[in-house]
Amino acid sequence: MRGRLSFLPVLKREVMCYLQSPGTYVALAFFFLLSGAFFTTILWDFVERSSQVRNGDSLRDTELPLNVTIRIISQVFSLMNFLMLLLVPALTMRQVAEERKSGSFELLVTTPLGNWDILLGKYFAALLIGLGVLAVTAVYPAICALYGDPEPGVILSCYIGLVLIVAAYTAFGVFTSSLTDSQIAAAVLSFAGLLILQMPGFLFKSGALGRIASALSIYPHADSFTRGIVALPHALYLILFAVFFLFMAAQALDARKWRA
Amino acid sequence: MIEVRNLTKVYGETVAVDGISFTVREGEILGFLGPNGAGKSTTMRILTGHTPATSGVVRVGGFDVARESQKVRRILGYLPENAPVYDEMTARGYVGFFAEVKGLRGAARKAAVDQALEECGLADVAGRLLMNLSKGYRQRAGLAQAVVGDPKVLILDEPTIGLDPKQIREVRALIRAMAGRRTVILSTHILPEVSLTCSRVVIIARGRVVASGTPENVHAGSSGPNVLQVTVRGPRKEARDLLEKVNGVRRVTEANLAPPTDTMDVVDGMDGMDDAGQEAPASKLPIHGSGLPIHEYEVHVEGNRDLRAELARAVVGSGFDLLEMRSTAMNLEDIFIQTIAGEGEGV
Repeated sequence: MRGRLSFLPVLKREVMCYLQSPGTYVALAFFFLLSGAFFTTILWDFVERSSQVRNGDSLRDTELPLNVTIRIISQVFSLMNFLMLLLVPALTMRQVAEERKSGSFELLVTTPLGNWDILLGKYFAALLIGLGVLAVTAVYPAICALYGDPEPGVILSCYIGLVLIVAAYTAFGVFTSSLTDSQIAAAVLSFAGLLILQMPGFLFKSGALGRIASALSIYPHADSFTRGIVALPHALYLILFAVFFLFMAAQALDARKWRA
Repeated sequence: MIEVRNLTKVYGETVAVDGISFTVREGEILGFLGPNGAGKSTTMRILTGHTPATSGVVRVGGFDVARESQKVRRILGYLPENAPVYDEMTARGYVGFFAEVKGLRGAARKAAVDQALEECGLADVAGRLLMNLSKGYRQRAGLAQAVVGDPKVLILDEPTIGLDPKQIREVRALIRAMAGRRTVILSTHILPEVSLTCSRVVIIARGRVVASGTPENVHAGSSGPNVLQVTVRGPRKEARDLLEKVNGVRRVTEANLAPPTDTMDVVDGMDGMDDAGQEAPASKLPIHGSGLPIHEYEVHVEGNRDLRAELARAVVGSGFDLLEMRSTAMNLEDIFIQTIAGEGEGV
């Protein structure tokens, strides 16, 4: 009876739970408000600059070229990468923490479900919601395509990066949520944790430690995708990041067994 | 069905469960009685495989809980303390989720869910969100979740806590109806619960078993004499002599004819509950059917002998009517207070 998809019941339940929870919509509203505001600002700036340049103004040396892809798409996706730092923790904070608090987690782990069934069900549910959000953000490049000529390859690269980032952050969020029975603590932990992991190189001046820290930074790996570069090491980094923190979460689920 | 041997659980410096042993046979309903903090929930969590034991062996359905957790979980239904439910789900959705988790699919799942909802009296509210249902219904949803898929063993942690008297009565009836079909362990700190629902009782205090047995004979370990209250319709003196002649009777005294108070009901009242309608107390004394007077005697029995059958034969054999006979030697509350008094309050 128990096959490879034994996490499906949890996945279905979690997705339903997301769709019925007001918190989900508040988080989504904030995300679209912010990303929409960024997009509009960037778009207007581009339109304005274009007309100025058409009227004889010349581009400053430091300025990005007036190219839809470079000046709008890359910028918007860079900002969306950043917004995921807020959105994903808001979505994942509930997951294990709430169930620990209410006591339903105790029940869940005494069912025939294994830790991985619980974890993957919860993980993929949050990931699905995140991917749903990404699908809606397609209006931004679509609007650009109406009036300009963005490069499809770069848009694709941006989305590959964004999906991987959501996958990685979600794993981290599930991990922090499984550490505590407080949703707030889980949200703060995952936001702060991800923020620090963006550029841990800052914490060290130089030396081997600094180099290791920079190699492990999220930001350089994540940002390369917005410039249209799909490089295997960057993708691999984000995938391993997700897998690593899912494993950590699996360990954290057993925390009750550590109390000797 | 359930075997617990020398179970010990230590949290840091605190000994939550201290070498307890007991067994539960198939179809039995075992009451796990103890003051708050006696180690009931810890023991239940160990039985479900949620918490590992520090030492000792726990076997459920023949499987070792520590090493064959997956097999144990498949034959087990569990209702945690306070019956946590998923508020945003309907009763049907909630029970359906657990049916699915237990591996039921399609028509089998639907049938199991329908049956569990029916058994727990949730059929009428199956489509309503749990957050909009009363505590009693939420508790029943928790019970339905445990029952769905027909597990052989049910572990219920304080199944009636926080319910109103009517709901308590319903949940107890529901559990009692499972006797024989399922092996049930239920924990409680309410005494009447045990005598009303359980076939056997284990009393624990401070992590230790202080008494166990059927609710009637759990006092076996206590040294006090056994006293039976016998109500006979017949001439006063003759009936008394008759009772005294039964082999094993130490002494017979006449009880006053005021309607006896049912100790269980007194406790009920103290707990803010009322089970009077369920276990009708023996307050029907002034019935004079055949014209003969009715007398109540206290029969003191030697040691722990069970003389109920002999006494009944003696009374009926001489043509009198035996209206009532019950053991009043020590009720559970006496045992409870006595056995835990020496141990002090639970932590």
